[in-house]
Amino acid sequence: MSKPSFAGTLGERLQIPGEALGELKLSVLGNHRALIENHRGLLHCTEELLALRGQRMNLRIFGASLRIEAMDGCDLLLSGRLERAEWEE
Amino acid sequence: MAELWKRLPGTAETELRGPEPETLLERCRAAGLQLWDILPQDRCTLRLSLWQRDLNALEKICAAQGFSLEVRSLRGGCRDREMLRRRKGLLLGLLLALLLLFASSLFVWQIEVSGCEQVSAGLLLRTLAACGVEPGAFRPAIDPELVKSRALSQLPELEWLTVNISGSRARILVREREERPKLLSERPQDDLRAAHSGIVRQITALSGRSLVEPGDAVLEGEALISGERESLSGGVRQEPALGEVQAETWYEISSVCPLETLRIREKGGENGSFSLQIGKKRWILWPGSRKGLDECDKIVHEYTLGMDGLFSTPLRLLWTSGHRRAQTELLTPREEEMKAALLQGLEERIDGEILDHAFSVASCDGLLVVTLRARCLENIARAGEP
Repeated sequence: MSKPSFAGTLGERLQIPGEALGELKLSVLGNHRALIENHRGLLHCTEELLALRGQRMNLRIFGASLRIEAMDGCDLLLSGRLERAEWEE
Repeated sequence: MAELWKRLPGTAETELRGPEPETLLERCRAAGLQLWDILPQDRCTLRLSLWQRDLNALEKICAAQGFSLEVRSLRGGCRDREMLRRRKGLLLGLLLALLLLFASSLFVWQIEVSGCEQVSAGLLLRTLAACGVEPGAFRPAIDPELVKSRALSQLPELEWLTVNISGSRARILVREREERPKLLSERPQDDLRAAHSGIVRQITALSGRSLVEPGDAVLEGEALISGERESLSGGVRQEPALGEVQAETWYEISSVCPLETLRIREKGGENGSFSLQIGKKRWILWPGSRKGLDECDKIVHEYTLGMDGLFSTPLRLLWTSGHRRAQTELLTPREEEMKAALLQGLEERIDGEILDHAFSVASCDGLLVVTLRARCLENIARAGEP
């Protein structure tokens, strides 16, 4: 397990929400919709896999018929049949 | 609504071809472009939608990344603006309609009343009209507090009233004054009194002192059994009187009915007219006159232009349907039914039995009068005030 960053430790001590410090936030509705906030870029995008870069870790979402409903600088709304999510340090 | 919102600035649906579409998306994200409906077609093809204003930026990114860009469709935005520029009349009409809508929102066109039970909505609306709240009233000139004070002073039946105006709709909420409960007499109602005049035949006093004897004639309201009792310690004490007083009573009840009654029946057939109402003015649109409806029963269906809960306009479309009523039917009163109704009414009224009865029938001035005369034996003792 990696050592937590200084910002992370300080945020934890000061009880600052993680998303305010730029942590990747994943909200899932059932298995058909997901909202990813605070991402730092798209790494891979197919109908079966969506890979995103986060501040400290990358996120990979596997599924079928995946489709990006909307995307802007830091948020992304994904739809399709979601199967699993993996985090990569 | 979301579709209309997207249509105003205009959207574009594009197809992009090139190696690694993710890098292009990453560039777009870094450039701050808002993208949606991103659909990978294959490893090298991507479809996405964006605002028309961002098309130039996307073209530059595509050129830099070696992507080909194809605009599949444009919706709203420049195209709509161009279309409106060519159709100046339409644009002017739209602006005029918006202006009229704004102007009409400064007036009250719809008044809703709720909470009325005893006071009729019509009376309340007339009172409100006298206080300045009526269809066509200038909204900023209405002072709800003043209307409330005036209306409450004119309608004492109301306890509370409030005027809520939102847009062109005025909602009037009222609460009616509750009637004061009737105060009971402090004096105990201990005596039994005669509910009807008659001749006493039998007295059964279970509690109290009998004030009449069999054979006595009593009038309505006269005390029959007193609740006053002599106390063992001297003086008088009160207790509720209980008992029955059977008396012979006489009744004379009449029923009156017209000898001939005309009943109007629908002739069949329906016609109507369309009219347009703006404020209080009405124009007949079709068929141009209402002569055909003069001898008809009219039912008016009203359709208001506007969106319920959002805004209302003074425009109303009225459909007046007329039902012909030329055929008439002559009805004669049924004497036997009247006699039976009289007898049934008397049986329900008395606490006893009808000893004998007789009917008399007379007609005068176009009226049929059926009179029932009956002799009854009933309990006339009732607790109550004189």
